[in-house]
Amino acid sequence: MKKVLIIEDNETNFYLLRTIIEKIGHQVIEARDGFAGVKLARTERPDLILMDIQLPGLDGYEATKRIRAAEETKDIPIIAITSYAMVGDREKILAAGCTAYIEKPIEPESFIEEIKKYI
Amino acid sequence: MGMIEKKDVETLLKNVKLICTKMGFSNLDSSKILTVISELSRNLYGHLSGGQIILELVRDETKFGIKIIFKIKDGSNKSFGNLFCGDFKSKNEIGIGLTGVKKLMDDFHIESNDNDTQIIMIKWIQSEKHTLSIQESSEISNEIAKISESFKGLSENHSKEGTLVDIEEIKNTHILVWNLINELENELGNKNNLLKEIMEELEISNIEVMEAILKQKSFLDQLDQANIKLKELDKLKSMFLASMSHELRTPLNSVIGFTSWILMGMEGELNEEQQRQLTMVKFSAKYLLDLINDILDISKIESGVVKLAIEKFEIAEVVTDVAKTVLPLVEKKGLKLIYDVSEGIILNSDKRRIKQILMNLVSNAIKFTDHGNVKIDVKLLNNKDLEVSVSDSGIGIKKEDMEKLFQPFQQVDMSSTKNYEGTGLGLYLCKKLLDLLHGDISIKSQFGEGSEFKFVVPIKFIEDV
Repeated sequence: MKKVLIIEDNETNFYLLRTIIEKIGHQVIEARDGFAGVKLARTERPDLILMDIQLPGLDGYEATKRIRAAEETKDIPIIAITSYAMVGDREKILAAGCTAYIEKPIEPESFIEEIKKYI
Repeated sequence: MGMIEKKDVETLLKNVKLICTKMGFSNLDSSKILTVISELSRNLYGHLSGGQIILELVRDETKFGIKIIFKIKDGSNKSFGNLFCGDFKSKNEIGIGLTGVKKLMDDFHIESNDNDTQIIMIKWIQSEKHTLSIQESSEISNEIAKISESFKGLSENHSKEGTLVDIEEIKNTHILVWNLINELENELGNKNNLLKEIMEELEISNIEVMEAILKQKSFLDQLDQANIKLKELDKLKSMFLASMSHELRTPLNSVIGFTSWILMGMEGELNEEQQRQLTMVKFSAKYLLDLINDILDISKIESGVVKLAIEKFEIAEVVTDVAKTVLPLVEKKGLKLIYDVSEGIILNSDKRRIKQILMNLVSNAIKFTDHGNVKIDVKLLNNKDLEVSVSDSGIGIKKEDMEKLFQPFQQVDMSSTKNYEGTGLGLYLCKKLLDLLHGDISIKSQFGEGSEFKFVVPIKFIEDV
């Protein structure tokens, strides 16, 4: 069982992600904004982070940069969960330090496939 | 004084001419004065019961001139009216009447009582330089007095039947001169008047033109402002759509995610009807999401916030990707997907956008084709442009519908009983995207036989400066 940190402000989306992650047998830690996410990443040292990009306060780009900047969290894989990505967003996401990105809407099958690459 | 002969008038005019010259009148003015005296003499005898012509030297502070007084004994003579009206014509039809005389002089007025009528006229010297010495002045005065005296009898001793006042010949010269001048002056005057009228009209039309220009300018200003406002509104609209799309998409993502999850049987097995209904939910939600995404794309392009991600990539990769994605659908419909891409064609463009365009065209082709095949062809043109063709053996497009194709929300054959899925935004979006990529799209179609959509993009995208 691995530890997955889900940083997502939308309750419904979070519930979907949690359902899927738990179903495939992993533990979920939740954060509702960027600041909490960065903090939890440091204290919990998850095996994978699922990062929503549009977050209140500290957005996904900034949160990713901070996680990457800290020695103890810099190697944790981060998968960005984005809305239908705007052109240029992908580059921005990868430049911020995300390992990969998955576009919404989530297709559980391909989502699970992608997750399994990292945990 | 006895009978005044023709030569008396001749003498009179000669003397007057002498006076005029002495005083410094110009030739023209002299002619005018002589004409006046001739005319008066003639009128005096030809039509009136007689009178006097008195010549005087006049001066005021700044100028001097000659005063001619025409004294008519009988102020009530009826002919006088005729003369004054200028209706008078001499025997040989040359006559200028009193009104004519009036025009020749600088000053003209009539004093009248029961017994006596005086027409008093003055001609001033036009030359400013000329001054008259006291001696010259008195000489002229004497001359005038002499002439006046000699002609006093003219009126008193002569009946109008007399032979002596045939002055026509003498004065004809002057009259002719005057007539000529008069004609010229009239002509000039007429032209002047005409010119003046034209000028006035021009001025009026000028004002009208200016008003029109001002009106047009203010209209243009208004248009400009309306245009700016429109552009602002358009941008606002696009921004609104962009943010709305985001808000609309978020819940849809959950709908689709959970539906897919349940359809996978992750929360328990579904019976056939549940499966069917949930599939419908998922399908509708996806359709709605496509629509929103298209709107989002278009509004972004239209509001100018779209940024292209230019990168090097192989077109073969894009074609293969698209083919792979649509293959399940193609197989489901029993169609054949033919694509042949020679490897090694490298593009420097926006891969994602090119893929989006191709995907759109291929999806359309599959959608409107029930039998046969869908074909993707790629070729280089002049080593400069890439041409991608998507052809099908589908229903084709009627000629009259062709131009509607690239307009938003125009799905051809709306009345058709068969309902084809689609947002009606796909081709419009393709066109917009190709504009961005400096490309173009064209269509060939035979109704009932199939269609071919072709787009061309430069292999090396060069940004607008």
